[in-house]
Amino acid sequence: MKSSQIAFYSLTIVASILTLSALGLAFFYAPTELTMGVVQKIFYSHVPAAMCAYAGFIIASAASIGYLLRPKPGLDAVARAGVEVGLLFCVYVLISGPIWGYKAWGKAWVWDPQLTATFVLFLMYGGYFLLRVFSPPGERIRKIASALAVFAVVNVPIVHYSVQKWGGLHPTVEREGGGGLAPAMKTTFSVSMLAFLLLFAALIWLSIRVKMREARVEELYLDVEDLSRSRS
Amino acid sequence: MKLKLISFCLVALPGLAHAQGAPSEDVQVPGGALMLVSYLVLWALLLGYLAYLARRQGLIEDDLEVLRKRMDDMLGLED
Repeated sequence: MKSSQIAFYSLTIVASILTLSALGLAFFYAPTELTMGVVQKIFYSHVPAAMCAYAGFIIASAASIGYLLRPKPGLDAVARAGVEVGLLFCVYVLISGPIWGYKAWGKAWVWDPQLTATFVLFLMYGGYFLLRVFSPPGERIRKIASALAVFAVVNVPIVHYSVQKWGGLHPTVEREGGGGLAPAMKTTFSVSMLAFLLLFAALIWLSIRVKMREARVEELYLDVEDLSRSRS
Repeated sequence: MKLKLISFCLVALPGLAHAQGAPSEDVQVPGGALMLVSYLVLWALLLGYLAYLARRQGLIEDDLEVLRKRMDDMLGLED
């Protein structure tokens, strides 16, 4: 077994153990919040998922900048993987947030600055994803998509700092101005955050591997076509 | 094509959900059920994405098989 495979399996095992531990801590260890009740436990997956979405989109935009400067299939694969995994977590944030808000605020959706900015972020990277899915492979599309990924990342700090800048219904909790967490909640949150980040790393690794293979197969098709032409 | 349709639905559905408008302020749903739904959605999304990657990996293997056959035909090789 290759060292990269050992590293991947180790990462997956550690991520799985930590995810199960985080679930156990969220359900059985963390106390129930007094105002919102048990629904507040969504916090332990909602916030780490948002961080993973940020990470995915930042990785995608960094790889896209690299691709625009020096087009390499590997960088495009990283960008696509970053968008896909980031979008996965962003979708979860947009589903878990309204579920939480439905109970806590009495409404599933309000046009709060952070919610709106997150929705715009989702639409931008959703556009990237659909562009890549529906377009034929080619250098031109890859560059257009890269430019889109770079522009869209501007929205990440807007989402993150929107509560501090424009207020709204979103609680600040651990961020500046927030009241902080009780020790048991903080422990659960920290484990959950680590678990999500490792899960994110495992997913993005897997996704990059699949995309690199797709790019290689595309090259092989072109090589076979060339060979076919040269023999006929 | 099926994969593209699924991809489109995955991106479009949250948008449609938000277009439905906010529910009544008189919320009677228990918080525990909502919390469980939230965690179930997380697992469904993760497993769905793994299935999507597995499907793509399967398509790569199919493509490699097609390429292998074309190479064999071109070089006049048989099994």
